[in-house]
Amino acid sequence: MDSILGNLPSFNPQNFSQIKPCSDPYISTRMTPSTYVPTHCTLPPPDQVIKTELGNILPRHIYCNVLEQVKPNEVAAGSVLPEHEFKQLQVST
Amino acid sequence: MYYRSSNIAARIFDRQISTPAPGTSVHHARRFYENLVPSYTVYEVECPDHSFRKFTDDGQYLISFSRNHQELIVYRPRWLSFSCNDDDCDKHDLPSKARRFDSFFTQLYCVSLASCNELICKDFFLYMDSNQFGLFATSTAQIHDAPAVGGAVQGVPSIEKITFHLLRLEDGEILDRKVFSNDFVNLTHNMGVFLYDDLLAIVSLRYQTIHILQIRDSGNLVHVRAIGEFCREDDELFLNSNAQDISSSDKNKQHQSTENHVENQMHQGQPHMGNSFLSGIKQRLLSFIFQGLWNEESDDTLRMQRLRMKFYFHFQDYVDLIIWKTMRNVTSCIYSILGQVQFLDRHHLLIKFGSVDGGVSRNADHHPAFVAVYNMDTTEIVSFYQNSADELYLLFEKFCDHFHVTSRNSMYMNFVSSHSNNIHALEQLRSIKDKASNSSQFVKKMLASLPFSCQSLSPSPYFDQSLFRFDDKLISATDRHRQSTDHPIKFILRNYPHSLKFKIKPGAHYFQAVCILNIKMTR
Repeated sequence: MDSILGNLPSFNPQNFSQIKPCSDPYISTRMTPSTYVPTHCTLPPPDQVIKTELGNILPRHIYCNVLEQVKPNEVAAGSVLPEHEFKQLQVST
Repeated sequence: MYYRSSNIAARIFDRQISTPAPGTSVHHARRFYENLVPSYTVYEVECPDHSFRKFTDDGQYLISFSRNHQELIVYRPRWLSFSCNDDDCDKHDLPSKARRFDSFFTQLYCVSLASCNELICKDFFLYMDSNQFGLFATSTAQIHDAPAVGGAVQGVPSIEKITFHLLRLEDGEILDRKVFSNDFVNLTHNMGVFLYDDLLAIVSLRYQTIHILQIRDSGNLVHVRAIGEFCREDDELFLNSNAQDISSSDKNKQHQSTENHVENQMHQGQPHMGNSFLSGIKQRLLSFIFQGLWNEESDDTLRMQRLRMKFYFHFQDYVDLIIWKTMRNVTSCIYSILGQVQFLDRHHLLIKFGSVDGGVSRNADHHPAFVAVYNMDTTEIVSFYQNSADELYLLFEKFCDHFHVTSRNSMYMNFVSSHSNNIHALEQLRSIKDKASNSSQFVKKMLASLPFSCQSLSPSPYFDQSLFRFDDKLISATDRHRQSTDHPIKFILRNYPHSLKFKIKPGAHYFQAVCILNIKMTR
């Protein structure tokens, strides 16, 4: 069978005339990569916003460490986390 | 991956036809410094008799002081260039003008900063590259045995007048000054002052106060807040409004304290009005410790026992002598004061509490110390560590370059090598850690550098550990004086072909030398 490249101009007309298409169906000349099919939905959440964190990540990690320490020891009624009370100016009478 | 030639022409061609991996364009560009290395030293250059301080990080100015430490002289580097087209350029000597100081530097101006009894602190200089402002300091002599009056800490020396001068380096105009009277600020290697963007933190060791100032674009130094005696802006107003109640209760308490603690009457933290309130920052610290102990137990009885044992029993000691190993393991009491401060961001401060001796000495490694993270907006202590805490060391190991906060305008400072961003530096650290006999001592030694001094690292690519290997005992990116040796300091390529690229010869004979860059075609 003539090669598809056989009729193109070349230095030696006999070039590419020896190439025959592979007839073995198990050895394909086209490498088709296998496609990964996920088993779950990979779409991002509809309200997701990706932006660069401007702040220093170090304070964020420090806060995370603090929260990790507080969570196991936190008591719903007993934990002392007072809300900030606004000071009131006392007027002398 | 394919083999990349180290030849500079090949690298330039490669830059034309290929793009670097995402996020590595700056690292790619910095690799050109493997080819652009100093290769010539000019000796016996006659320099002016000044004390040369440093180049600004953007390379625009050379800062120097007069020998009498009263004048500031600023030079503009001119970067003399020379080219040779012959086959053997190494045999060609540089032109005679290369041996003159003024061929490389042009004096811009000379400004007198210090008056007759003041001296410029030659170890102090901060640069704000966004506006090209420079911050300098002058001071009178230290008084070591100054009495602790007006809320001052006993044992901390006093300086009659410390002046911070803000200059526009372009023309030497003095834009603003800030004076601290009868105070003490550790100016050595910028230890007591930290500049982040336009915020300036100045630590008054004597009065245990952190002054936060803002440098405006106009050049004005604006006082934002003072953290120490008071934390919130209206704390003083609130206390003053209750002055009558305070003064009457003070009379009773002072009578008791006079009987029991005569020597500690003037201890730090007491406001000038003479009441017995602790300073605001100390109150925040005690509250943080109390909350931590409270939250550790869920049972009310156990909680009170724990508080009684670990907090109330030692409360008077805490008032006079502040401690804390950790909030879970309070075992020892030392006299500790607010020592050094750095910004973590515009809202958080990293504060070091140390002993009085450690606060005023250069080497505080042997003194116990504690580190706290303080939120300036909420005026709360976020976390508190002893300087040998493993938690703090883990943060230091993972996020070392985030402790070195840099201005948002200084992108080149984001590429300084540290063990958090460089595998070679990390291997070095792990090697030191493996060799250390005592883990606790190793952690303490590593954390002794916290908080970092401001602008103490050089951004030079020659100190990039992914480009060059050098002996960091002889030279490093840290701005510190090192003992000169007779051995040359070698800079060896990290990458193939791992060859010696250049060396610096320190020593007294070579102090008048200028290293010149030469582009060398390597194969």
